[in-house]
Amino acid sequence: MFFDFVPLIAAVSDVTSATQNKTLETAMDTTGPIISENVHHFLPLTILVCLALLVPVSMLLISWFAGKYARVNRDLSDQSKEKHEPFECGIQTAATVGQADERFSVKFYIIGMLFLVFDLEVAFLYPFVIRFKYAEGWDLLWVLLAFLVLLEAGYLYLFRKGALDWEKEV
Amino acid sequence: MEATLTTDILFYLFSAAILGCGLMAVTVKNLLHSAIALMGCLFGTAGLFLLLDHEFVALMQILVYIGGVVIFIIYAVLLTTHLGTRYLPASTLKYISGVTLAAIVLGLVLHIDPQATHTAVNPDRTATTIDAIGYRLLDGSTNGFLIPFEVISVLLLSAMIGAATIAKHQKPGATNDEDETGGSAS
Amino acid sequence: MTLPTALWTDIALGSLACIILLSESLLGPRLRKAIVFHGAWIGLVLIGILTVCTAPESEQAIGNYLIRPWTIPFRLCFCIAGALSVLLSRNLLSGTGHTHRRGLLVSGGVHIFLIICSTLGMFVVTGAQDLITFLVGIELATIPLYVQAAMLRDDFSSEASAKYLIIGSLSTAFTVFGISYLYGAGNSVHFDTLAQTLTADKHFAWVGVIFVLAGIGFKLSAAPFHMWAPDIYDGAPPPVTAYIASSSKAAGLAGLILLVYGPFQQLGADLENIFMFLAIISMTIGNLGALRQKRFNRFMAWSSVAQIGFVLMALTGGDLAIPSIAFYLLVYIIGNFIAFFVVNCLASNRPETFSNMRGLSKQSPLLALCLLISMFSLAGIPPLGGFFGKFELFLAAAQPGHEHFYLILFAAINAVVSLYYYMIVVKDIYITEPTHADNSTCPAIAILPSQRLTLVVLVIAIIVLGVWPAAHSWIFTLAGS
Repeated sequence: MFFDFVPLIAAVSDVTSATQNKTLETAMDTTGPIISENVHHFLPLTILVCLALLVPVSMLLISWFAGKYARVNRDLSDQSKEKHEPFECGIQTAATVGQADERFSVKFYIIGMLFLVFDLEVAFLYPFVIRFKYAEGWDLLWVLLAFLVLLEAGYLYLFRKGALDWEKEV
Repeated sequence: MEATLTTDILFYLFSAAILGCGLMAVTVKNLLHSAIALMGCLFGTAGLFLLLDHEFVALMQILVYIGGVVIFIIYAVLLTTHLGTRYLPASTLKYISGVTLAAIVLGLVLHIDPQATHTAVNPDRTATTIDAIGYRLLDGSTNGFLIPFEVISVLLLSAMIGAATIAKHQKPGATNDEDETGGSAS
Repeated sequence: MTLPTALWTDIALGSLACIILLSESLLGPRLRKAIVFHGAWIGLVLIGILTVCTAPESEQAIGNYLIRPWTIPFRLCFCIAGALSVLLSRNLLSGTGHTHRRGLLVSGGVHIFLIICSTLGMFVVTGAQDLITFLVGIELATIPLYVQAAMLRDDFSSEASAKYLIIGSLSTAFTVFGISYLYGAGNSVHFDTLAQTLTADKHFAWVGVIFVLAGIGFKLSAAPFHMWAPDIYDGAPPPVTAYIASSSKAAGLAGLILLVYGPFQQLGADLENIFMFLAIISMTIGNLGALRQKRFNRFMAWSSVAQIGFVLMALTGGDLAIPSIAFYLLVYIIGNFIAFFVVNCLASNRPETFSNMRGLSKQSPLLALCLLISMFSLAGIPPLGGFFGKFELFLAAAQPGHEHFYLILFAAINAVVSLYYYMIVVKDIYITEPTHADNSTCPAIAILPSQRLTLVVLVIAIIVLGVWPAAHSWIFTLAGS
């Protein structure tokens, strides 16, 4: 059943390209095709999502059952006991040994925060890029520059203050 | 919306997912688990947006909320000392008052809803494409949202600078870290 | 693209924020401190002047952004409060050779930058012509405040910030939920369309109206939504407290007026009843709370709840409501800032409790006199500005067609009650002798020259607003009455 992936992805990209080929006229009166009318377009996507959920869940379940089998046969020599330890490139790290809720450094927080802000920025730039195709004159460029200059000023500030410097003690 | 059997089934599926995950998010004792449940809740919302033909909003729901905000919440949980495993029991009084309040709001909404369903849904509602969103977002006329678009950059900027400033100047040994300013910006 | 003159102020504010941030990141330490502090307050004062100079005769539209003449005094209030807040933070900034009991601000530059951002957000609220712009403006006006509340390194500050963040997010959630219902009921986010489609018989609209009002109620700290105010006033750094107490309230009120006279205009009498209810419980609860406070900032928080009650009372009135609220806000902001300037000087070396304020008249006659005038003005004693502010509010509620005489009677009783607790403060600073323990813990009070000058200017302003009719009618003309 995993071989169905390829036509599925093709179907999904088909939907995407169909939306991209919209003309300016339809963009202007803010209309488009009603997707729910032909919901079968999204059926492939739904199946894809289900598959994406199925794979990790089945992996977890398989390892759980297999692990159960391994736990039953635990009365082995010390040598094979090592096999049951979590393994990561031969080094014992916090990720493999100990609690999963290890305290993180605040550095991750700053990086995560910056990611979120620029993620949102991209979210706003995406419709802009689509719109840019139909732009006339320079107006839209100034609009974008005003948007970006402010955010990049913030980026510059953080850069100068060393917020992005991983080695620096915070 | 053109209600077909498929859309109906999908609607109830997504709604059940939202309700179930939402309940889990507020009742589960481990904060990390409730963050994961929140993720499921947001996935369901994205599905509903998709059913309403708002593909861009659905996309952003997944990209920004699940990819950004929830991950960020998990960071915030992991930053704190064992907040993820410490149980924070609520008193019975709080449970009762919370449930009562929720029931009142539900009652209010249910009481009002049947009288207004015919006016609630715009009959002319059509699919909103990314083209249309881009057009209206950057339109300088009365129909557009040019000014909020520009103001949002200041909003993002202040959230970014503010959160970084607070996070950067932690007291040594401070245990309380609650400033998720960036999270509320969205 | 030609830009209408009324938009200049908003652009100037955005540019000012950008300049502050750039000079904070690019300049050397000494030059930076001077430019950031003086540039910010001078810039805000200049933008305030520009606001008045570019005031449009009639509504001026820039796309979906609408500069309304009546918002000009509100915008002036935001600029004044912003500039005063910058000046108030002077003794919490590094490099002034000053120390404060609670330490210095984590980053003075960011603090000042955020004040300007927040002011810009308030400007956007007043110019909003659709619910999206409105929401973005409200968010921009409040999100910087969450950060600013955490700007001191002590636990009180962090606690205040956390509480403010949670309560603020909750109120935003209410607002957004309400907006979704308004959109559902009115089929539009545009104010003009909503004004026609939101009618009182639409039950669906009322859910939206109530939730939006609750969200704004949180920002105003009107009575059922006031619980956050005392803790946050007490824990936040002094300039931020003053800013939350003045500008944030003014922005909430401007937003409320915008909605009431815009999209909600057909809801009429029912809306008046809601405001009447809010006004009555705000006044009562605020007064009862203020009666038994020991710490000055908590006292100011409860008194602000009561003051908001008086303002909401005016909203039940007719056309006079807008100019009277604008005038009252200006007086209220100035009165509040005088009190916070005085207490900030005191707080630099002692906790701001009433017992620590005893004997202030002997230690520093100037500060005592300023606080006296501020309290008299807040209580509404003639000939200070506060009296005429309150008088106009009562007058607005008594307008023909809106005669809410019981409400006015109730408010008058509450005004008398409030007189009592404001006088307790005056009694503490002038009459009560400090006990031996109070006296021994009180070192000398240091006032920065810039803050002393500001105090004097503010006191003169509040007297002028009270006794000079031209100042009064100037605000009324600005507000378009």
